[in-house]
Amino acid sequence: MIASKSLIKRNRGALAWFFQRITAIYLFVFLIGHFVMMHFAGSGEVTYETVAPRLSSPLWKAGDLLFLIFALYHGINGLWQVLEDYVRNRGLRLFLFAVLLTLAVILFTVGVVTIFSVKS
Amino acid sequence: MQIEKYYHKSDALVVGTGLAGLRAALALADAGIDTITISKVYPTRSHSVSAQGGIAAAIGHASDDSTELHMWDTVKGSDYLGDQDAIEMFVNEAIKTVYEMEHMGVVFSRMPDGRIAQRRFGGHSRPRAVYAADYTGHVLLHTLFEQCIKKKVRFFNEFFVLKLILREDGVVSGVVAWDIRNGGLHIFNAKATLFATGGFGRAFKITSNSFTNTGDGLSLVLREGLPIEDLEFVQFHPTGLYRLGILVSEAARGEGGYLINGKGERFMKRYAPEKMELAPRDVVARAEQTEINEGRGIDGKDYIYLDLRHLGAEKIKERLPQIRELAMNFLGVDPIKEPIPIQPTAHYQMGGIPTTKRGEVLGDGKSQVVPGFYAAGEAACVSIHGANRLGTNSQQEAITMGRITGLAMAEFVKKADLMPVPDKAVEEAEAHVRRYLEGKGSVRPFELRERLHEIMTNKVGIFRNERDLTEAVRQVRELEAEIPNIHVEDKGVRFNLDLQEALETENLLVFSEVIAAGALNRRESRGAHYRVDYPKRDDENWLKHTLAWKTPEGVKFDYKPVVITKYQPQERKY
Amino acid sequence: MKRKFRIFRYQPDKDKKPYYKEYEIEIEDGWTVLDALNHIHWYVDGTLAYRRACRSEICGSCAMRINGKNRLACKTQIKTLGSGTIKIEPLPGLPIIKDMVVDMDPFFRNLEKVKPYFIKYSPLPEEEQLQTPEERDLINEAAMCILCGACTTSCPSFWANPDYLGPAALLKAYRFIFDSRDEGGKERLEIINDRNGLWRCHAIFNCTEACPKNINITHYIKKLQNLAVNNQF
Repeated sequence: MIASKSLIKRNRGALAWFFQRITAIYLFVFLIGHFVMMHFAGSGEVTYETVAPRLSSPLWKAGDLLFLIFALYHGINGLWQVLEDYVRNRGLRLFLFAVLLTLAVILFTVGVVTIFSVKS
Repeated sequence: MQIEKYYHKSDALVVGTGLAGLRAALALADAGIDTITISKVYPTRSHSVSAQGGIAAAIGHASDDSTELHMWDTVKGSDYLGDQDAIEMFVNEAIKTVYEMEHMGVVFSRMPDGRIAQRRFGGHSRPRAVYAADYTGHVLLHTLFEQCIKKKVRFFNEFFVLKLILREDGVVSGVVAWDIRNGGLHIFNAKATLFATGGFGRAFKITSNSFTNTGDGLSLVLREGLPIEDLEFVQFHPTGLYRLGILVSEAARGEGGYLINGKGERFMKRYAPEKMELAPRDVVARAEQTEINEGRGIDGKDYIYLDLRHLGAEKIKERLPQIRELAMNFLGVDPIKEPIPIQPTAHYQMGGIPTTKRGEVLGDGKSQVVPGFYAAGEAACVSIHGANRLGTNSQQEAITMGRITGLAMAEFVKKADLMPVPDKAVEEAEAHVRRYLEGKGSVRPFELRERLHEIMTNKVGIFRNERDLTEAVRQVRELEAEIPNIHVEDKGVRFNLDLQEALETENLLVFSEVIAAGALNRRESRGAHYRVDYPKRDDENWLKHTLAWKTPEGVKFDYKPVVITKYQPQERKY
Repeated sequence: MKRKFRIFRYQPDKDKKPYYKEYEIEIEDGWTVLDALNHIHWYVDGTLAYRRACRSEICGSCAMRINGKNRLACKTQIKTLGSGTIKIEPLPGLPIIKDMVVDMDPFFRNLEKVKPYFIKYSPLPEEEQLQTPEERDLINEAAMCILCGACTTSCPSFWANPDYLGPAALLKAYRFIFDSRDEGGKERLEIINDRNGLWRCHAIFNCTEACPKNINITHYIKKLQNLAVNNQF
């Protein structure tokens, strides 16, 4: 039995596991917020005039950027775990991981450009 | 066919990885002795794992228990055939064994204050069984296995012993074994060899025993011209699942379960008015069989009921979860709602390879030790159980005698030399396997086994008589004569189950004659051995141990006196 | 009643590749799959190989794949398997020795890695170490494991990564780490806090579903993961 906190060596697997859960919580809260915002709060009108100012506020941009990073991490890490469970060939695994990483970089770039290009 | 040979050397060799074998291996490893264990299964598959109810020790947590009472109960339970010096040592060591196992991490059931709990068991006058719900054997065996891993014991799993190497100078220097998984002969050369090979329940049709309990150790010993002690005493457990024989722990009665006949009576009141269901196993099994034979089974059939319903769902789920699961799965009966159909089932051999109190095998059965040869557990006869074993004393014996024997071996190997293996022994073992792999017979192993089951169950069962036993001895000898004619269908060397069954069947046939002949020879009734034609115990002529040798002419007998120290034989009433 | 069995047959040093053989036998009411295998071995085909010992759900010898699920042959009543042909195969993910007999050594080697034994450094009492029923309850179910291998060999993470410790070894680690008397928790946690240990478990629940002793293995692995995270951040 481990009674009191006894520090053990950190492990990347643990970090990934932990971060997957942290990101999941953020995604959940963010999406609830999104849902509420879109369907219940405000006028319900989705027009450039109502959305653009919101998206251009720095606070909003920060939240969106965090969402981008967390969603990408969550998705890519999840896919990677699945690949590790079902793809046994080492070479294929590496190739697929490279594909995932490339995809992540492209999506991240597109995301960043989108977030920061909105002006009111 | 090419049969590869491999040689292994070690100081100590343990054959069998049940409670006795693993405890001995651990004692040896603790003493720094290089130890090899061999087993025909992975260690955690050994039959000790099936033990359910508990392990006896007079630690007195639930009563005013004492070692004197434990000794008295065991002596009385043995029907005065147990050697009292051995029993006295045993009950004292038992307490140490329980605490030692707890120190290795066994998850014993506890009292609210955190101390080890104890429950009632048949034949014990106090609640003395230390337990872990109803899977005590499982947690004990796994714990010993774990400790052996910790101590880096060398395991050779799935090896079948073909021959005990008894040299011409009377020294045992190992065994020759067959590698079940890959084929090939392995010669295990050791200074000290322990047989912890378990029991013989598979000689009977209805048995609680694993498929593996084929008394291999007994037959290996008999083949080398060594004697076996008291083999006629076969314990029939009163509660085996109907038709299957699967064990329903005595703990069910220890917790308060009733035995009910076809007329709805708790019939034990006629046989053991004081102890009722908690009389010793020989008494209860005989009572059940009498009820069945006299037509008072359930619906007149060959079973009776074990009724647990009044214990309540909570107690059954907490204390007897495994037997509930077994009853539900195998008979479709939930003990919380319905009584369990049960019948007596062949369970335990009181006799075995004669040993001293230190586990040294006696070459003449009396006083002459075979250097380098040891036996412990059910395979051995110390004799602690005499004519009838009390429940929970067997797990205790296995572990306690395992430890004591391991220590004796450690002492022995420190001053002994490794004696070489004679070529002849290896040649004989090879010829033995070749006979099956290259020969052609006409009778399948299982045919012989089924015929043996009929004989042993019908004629050497709970009630025995002169005519049946005479017939049984003759018939078993006839079956034995068919051994050269056994046909093994599988001629491969890899995991050849057919070969293994042939070898096991051969072993069953070798010792079964000794059971039947011993039962015929002993013209009295004592403990588990009941002769309808001699229904009384006869201390004048039969207060003695049977020693039996196999000869081509039949079984040869000799006797040795019972060691009596504190308790003179008296009438046995429960 | 007649039933058909489609049984996996393979002897690596003889057969080029595995094949299935069909047997149709008369079965009796109440038979388990093990009863059927015994019957086939005794009366129909002596070359069939499989493991068995206790035939009462406690020794763990006869775990195999029956109709696509890992189960104990001795526990599986034939009448619960519908009316079609019954397919019998060895446990997946382990080297095959012959027919249903797999090499369990990799499984036991993984077990050995987690220090699967009681560890105590402080001096032991003369009598027992105290443990309340509540403390015992924490590990009671985990201690019921029979090491049959049904869980580990049902885990996709194990199939793809043979170095993964697997549910059985992790359950054993849990049994000791959560034992109120044991003092080896930290060193064991260090071992299983590994990519091929705790963090390979993605809660697929195959192990829990396969366990013939109905142990909620995934739940215990999750408890270990929480413990490991709490002790390193």
